[in-house]
Amino acid sequence: MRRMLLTGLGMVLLFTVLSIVYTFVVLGIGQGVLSHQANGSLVTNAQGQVVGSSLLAQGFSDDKGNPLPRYFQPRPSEGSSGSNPYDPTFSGSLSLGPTNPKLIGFVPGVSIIDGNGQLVKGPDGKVLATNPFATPTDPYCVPVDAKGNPVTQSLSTPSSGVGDPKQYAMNSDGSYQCDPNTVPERALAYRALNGLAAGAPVPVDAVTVAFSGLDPDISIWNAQLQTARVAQARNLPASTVAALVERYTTPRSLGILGEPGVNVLELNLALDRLPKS
Amino acid sequence: MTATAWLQLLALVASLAVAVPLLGSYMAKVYGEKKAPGDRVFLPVERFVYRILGVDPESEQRWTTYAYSLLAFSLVSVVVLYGILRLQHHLPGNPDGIAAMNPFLAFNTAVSFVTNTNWQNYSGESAAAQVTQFAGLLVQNFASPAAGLCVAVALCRGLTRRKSRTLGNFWVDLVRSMTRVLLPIAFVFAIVLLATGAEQNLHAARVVTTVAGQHQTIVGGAVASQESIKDLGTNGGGYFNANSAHPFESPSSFTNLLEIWLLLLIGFALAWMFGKMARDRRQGVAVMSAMFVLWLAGALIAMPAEAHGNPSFTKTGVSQVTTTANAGGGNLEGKEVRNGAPASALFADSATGTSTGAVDASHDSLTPIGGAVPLVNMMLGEVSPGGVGAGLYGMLIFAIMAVFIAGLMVGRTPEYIGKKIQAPEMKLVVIYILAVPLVALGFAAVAVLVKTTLASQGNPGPHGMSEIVYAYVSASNNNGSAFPGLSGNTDWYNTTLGLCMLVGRFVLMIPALAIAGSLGRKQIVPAGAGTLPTGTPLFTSLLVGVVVIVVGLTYFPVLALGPIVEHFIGKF
Repeated sequence: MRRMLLTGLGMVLLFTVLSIVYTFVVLGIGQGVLSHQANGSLVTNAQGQVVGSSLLAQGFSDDKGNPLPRYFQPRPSEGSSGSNPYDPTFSGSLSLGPTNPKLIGFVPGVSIIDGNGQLVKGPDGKVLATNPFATPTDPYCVPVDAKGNPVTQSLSTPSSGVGDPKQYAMNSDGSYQCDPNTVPERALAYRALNGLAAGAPVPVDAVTVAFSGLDPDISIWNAQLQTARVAQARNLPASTVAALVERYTTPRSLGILGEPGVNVLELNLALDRLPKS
Repeated sequence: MTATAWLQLLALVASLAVAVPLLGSYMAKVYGEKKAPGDRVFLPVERFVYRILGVDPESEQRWTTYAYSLLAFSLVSVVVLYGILRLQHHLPGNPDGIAAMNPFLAFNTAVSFVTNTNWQNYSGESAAAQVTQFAGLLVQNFASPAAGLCVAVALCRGLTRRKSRTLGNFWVDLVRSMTRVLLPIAFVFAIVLLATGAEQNLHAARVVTTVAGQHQTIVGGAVASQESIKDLGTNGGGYFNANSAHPFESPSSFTNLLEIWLLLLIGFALAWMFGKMARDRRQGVAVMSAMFVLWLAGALIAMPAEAHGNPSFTKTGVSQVTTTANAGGGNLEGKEVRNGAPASALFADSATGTSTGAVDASHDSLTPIGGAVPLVNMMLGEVSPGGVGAGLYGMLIFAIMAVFIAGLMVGRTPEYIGKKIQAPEMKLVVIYILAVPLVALGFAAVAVLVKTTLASQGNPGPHGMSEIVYAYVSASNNNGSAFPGLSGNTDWYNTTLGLCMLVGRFVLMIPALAIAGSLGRKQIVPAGAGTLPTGTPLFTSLLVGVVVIVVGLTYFPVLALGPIVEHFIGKF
């Protein structure tokens, strides 16, 4: 047995040596021949400064987190250590499930559930037919507490039913404050930012997160809906911006693989490079 | 689903159909007794290695010695990797100054990579030093599939040799798996991944000022080289937390499909190799067809389910229409635009049909049915087509089970490719089949009853239970993918999941080798009138039926409580 363990150790060392050699051969080829890709596909702005990687999404918001209208906006991101999304040192998402109210909002009969996983019932003993936290704009509103955290379990149930206002943050008009990170709230924000009519359809990629939290692309439709806003903020003809969107659209690989997308960072950099009008 | 989504499935099948017979025939020669292609290059190197390590390549081992060698190699592997994880802050090649892992996490990670599971309770970018990745985790990305190949080859030898007490030499099979199969293929596709954008450097993390004037930290690393063997070796441990969803691991829709192709390649090729070794191609084709049917069924269920999307999104005015401009539409929560919903579902089906823990989307955010497919794939023992080595020996064990059941129906002694299947083999088959459900369901049952372990759930209701069941099924089957909403980095989960991985690896490998030893000693009996032909479509359907009924039914109650009830609650 001792001899076998020694042979085993020798084999592990052999595999280690081969792994290191393999890594460094690929490294040598990468740094020698394919250095742009090997070093993370870094891109520069008009001043020549490195501003990121064309493969990684980055935020185009001001310091308060409000989206800057003159830039195309990437998909939402939950890849963050806290306040700063699109953080490549924390790739990933919250992995919310398809019936989680933090994702889909409070949908009566689907996601208004108590701490035991049971559908919440009203005072009449029936499963709620409407969301007690609904606001005039968001019928699926998930309320937040005083600290801004969404409240989805242990909903306060005074005798009148669900929704005791004391526990939740309220707006001045008496409506509940809603968690901004649900799909319905993101859809409302998207429509407001891009001047779309209430209830107008919103592309699904614009209101959902990618698992990486760093998805560099948005759908073509998402880019098209943002075009008018960006053109207006930059005082450009919409056709100029639309032409750039088309130029930075990555088609399906080999014509059939995956889906086409528009690279947000490259598109925004191209916009910044346009001569000022 | 769009027509192009179907076309990419077709393209994948077609490219596999070309590559699988080529690789399968090549591997039959690599593990055969005659000359193999590339002998002139590889033989001198291999002889040099054997001389240094004191291995006599001519001496064959009985199944017990073969198994002891495997255990010795795995034990040393765990100890060495554990040491690296605990001491990484003292090693050179750690430019970001990453600290040591705690003992529970290091145990879990070391066992995870040695057993080809690659379950990760840590984030690669923040908890694994660069040197740990390429001199520790990468080593097991090669070693664990190589060991899996050895067991599969030994079982093939046991089934096809006549009155042989030995099954080959573990050390020789191990070295040849590395030098002639894994390393060359991994190298070619590392370069392809590199050329398409996977990074390969040893830079410290670099802070840049973004266009909007904020800061972003871009993490460096030798990603491309690890990525190709991660997929080829059905390992699945991502360099980054987001795994193949991370653009540095899979930069385009092409690399996404390429990675799926790599996941499936060796699994199917091994079935072809089995046919070659049995000198009856139909035997290999029958086994391969059963793998293919199970894999395709998963794809045909999961792809439309994800393309169909989430009805609760539609209520709020979000359009999941399946058009090109809408990035293919469907449920894009947890998915990348470049991959889209159908290809992400195809990846999930392929990663869990093999023993790969890789994901290109969050499995937690799949629709209930889309998420049930990976769960069921793992529950079936990952034989569609299965992990490198593990898939073939798993499917061959099920084939023995199938001929046994058929034998009971007609009252004859069952045979499989000329070997009589008798009581000793069937006892081992039963151990093989019962071990995984026992630990997976046992630990999951405890975990859903204890308040502290329930607190790790990332989602409420039936979905939260699916998370816990998924974790134990994944670890016990050495898959490694997760419903990542579960916070698994606790002492309880690190320890119990680690134990599940050990059972799922060695309590299956040892009976498989014992069966190989027992069958190898037997005479090959000529097929008679009462022999069930095993190279036919009829046997393929029997095999699929046995896998689904015998193995799958064990788990049906837990599926009813998790994804099935969620499907109806969510009105999908």
